[in-house]
Amino acid sequence: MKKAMISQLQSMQHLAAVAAGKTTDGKKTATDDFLVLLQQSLAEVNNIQQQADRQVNMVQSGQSKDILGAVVTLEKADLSFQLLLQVRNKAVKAYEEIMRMQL
Amino acid sequence: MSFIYSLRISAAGMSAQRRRLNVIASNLANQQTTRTPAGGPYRRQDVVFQVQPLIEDKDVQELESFKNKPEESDLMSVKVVDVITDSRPLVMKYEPEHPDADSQGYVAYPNVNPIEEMVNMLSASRSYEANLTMLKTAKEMANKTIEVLKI
Amino acid sequence: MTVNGLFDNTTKLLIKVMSLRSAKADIIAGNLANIDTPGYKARKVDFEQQLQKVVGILPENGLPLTRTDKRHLPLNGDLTDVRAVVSERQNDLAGFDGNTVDLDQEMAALAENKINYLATVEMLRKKLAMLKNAIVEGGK
Repeated sequence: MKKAMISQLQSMQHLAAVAAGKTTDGKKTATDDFLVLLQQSLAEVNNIQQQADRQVNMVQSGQSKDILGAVVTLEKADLSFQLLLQVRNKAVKAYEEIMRMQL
Repeated sequence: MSFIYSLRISAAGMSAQRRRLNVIASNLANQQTTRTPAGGPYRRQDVVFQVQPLIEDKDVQELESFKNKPEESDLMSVKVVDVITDSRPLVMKYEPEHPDADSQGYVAYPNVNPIEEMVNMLSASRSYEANLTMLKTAKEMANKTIEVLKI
Repeated sequence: MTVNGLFDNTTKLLIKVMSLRSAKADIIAGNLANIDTPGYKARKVDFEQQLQKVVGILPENGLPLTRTDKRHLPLNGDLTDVRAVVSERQNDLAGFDGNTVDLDQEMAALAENKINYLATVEMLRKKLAMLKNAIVEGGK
């Protein structure tokens, strides 16, 4: 978790450096990786939520007796969504702080 | 959707069983009673249960959950409609010295069989417990539903 | 802005199942209240088949995402048409007085219905909590 945040901060630093003209951006930057990371996380969270819905539907319509499975997946969906939100919040805060440093 | 009907029905069930229990207690207490205000010995009594469909309540429109028409209510409560006297023959015992002896020296004792009453008593209390469990379950389900509002 | 659009199909399903199970509880209550009533026939409640038709037979994993809104699982048809169907229990328990209520059967049905209902309530609570979370956090 910390590693992910640090790598995101680094990619933001790189972005900031590029903006300040201190580095040339001749190659694919770490910001692309960050975007990809974000997209992947979103897709994963979405996936888990769909899986949770699917399992709940199966239990409620009587196709499955696995209440525990549905409950666990629901909790996973909740936690992963909250985690994503918190990461987003921290990343945005870090970005804002870096942007302030420009002055 | 509400649990009001479950609660009412269970309560009616408990009430009916309790009346039954009272009658059984009366039978057991009067096993040897040869003299009653009405004259003659005590005669065994029994309750008559009858189904009571809940249709008077016009907002039995929780029947949006049921398939049948509102007139044919699916909600079946119960009620003790009558307390009848057991018509089985009295127990005659030869006791010429007894003040209530008839001309032949026989005394008419109540037609109460204690074993039968005990079995009935167990059945009544078991049924009472079952209705009580239903009541508690309905209460718990209703409370948990309201808790959805928390967080 | 309508609030009804906030509930996805799974949430609507959970709410529907809650009212169906509540109806089932009423029928079980009637059976227990009439456990000693002469001539009373025990009744049961069915709705799972109807639900399965509406929800569809779902595969364990994976679902082809062919719908425009990838967030929601689809329903075939309307949940509001699903009703609790009351019918007589088929058992040969009719004693001399015609009563067919089996105490053990009813108590088992009572316990099962209760567990399922409470599980449904908790799942609904979780779905609503996630929804609320999304609304609250999204505003930050």
